[in-house]
Amino acid sequence: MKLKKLIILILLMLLPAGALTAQEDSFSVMLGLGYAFSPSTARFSYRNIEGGILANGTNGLSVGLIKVLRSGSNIAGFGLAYRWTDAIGFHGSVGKSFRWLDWLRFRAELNAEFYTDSFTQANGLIGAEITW
Amino acid sequence: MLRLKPLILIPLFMFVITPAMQADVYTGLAYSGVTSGRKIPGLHVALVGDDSRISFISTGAKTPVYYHNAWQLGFYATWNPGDVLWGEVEAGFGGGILHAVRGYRDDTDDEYERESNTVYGPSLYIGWELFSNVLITLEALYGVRDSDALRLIFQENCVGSIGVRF
Repeated sequence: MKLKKLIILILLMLLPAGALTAQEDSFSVMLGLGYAFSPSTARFSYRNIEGGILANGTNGLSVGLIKVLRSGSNIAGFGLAYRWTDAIGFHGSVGKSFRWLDWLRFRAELNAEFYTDSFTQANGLIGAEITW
Repeated sequence: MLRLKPLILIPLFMFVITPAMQADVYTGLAYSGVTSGRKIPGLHVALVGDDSRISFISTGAKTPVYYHNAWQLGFYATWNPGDVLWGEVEAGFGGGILHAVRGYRDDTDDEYERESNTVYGPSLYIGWELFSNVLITLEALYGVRDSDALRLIFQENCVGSIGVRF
């Protein structure tokens, strides 16, 4: 139980860190600000496979594994999520990622998770992707 | 009968205009979180064009003392961002509207206390082709509703479904 609390605490401390996002042939870091009907979120990723950590003040914590697809400036994500209440959910997201400089993109995204324990979670995310 | 009209007329309308749009039709079994409680099943019908989608979802639950029905209509601009594993993904962004009616009574002899509300706002759609023309879809509406309390004017609704496109 203490370990579970410790993991949750560490994850909560990571929330302001935003997200790590890998472009197809390079690495990037995305620092995002989540706006939410359900408070959110931090994302970590490698080569367009994103791991999401979603925290909700009243409804607990969930983690997800998301495949992010890019088509021009459009992005879409599809994946699975796991909630701390032992529920499995589908994740879907769509958004835009605008290139400003060679190494800097802005990203806006809508997310939704749909869980087997009768819980749904939807939120928005804006952020900057810094590529190197 | 009034509550049955959208359930019958909107899918019928979609099937009638499909040849004119040269669009595919998607029909599926939906599960909705509209009650904010248990998942309830529903009907999901959509017109699928090359780069657009019109979607209708009807869902509801009823017990001897309670009922909750909801209908959601969404319009999307869609694109194909790529594949996930073996299946193609289709994504869409647009707007939607949700109308819900609820009724509650303490006893089966009592009259229902009824209320309804309408929610509208941006929405997203994403579908994954599990097998040929069999899709798992997720639609989420990020809505505002009429409420005096500012923090209560936002309401989202997520609907997942599995169905066939033909």
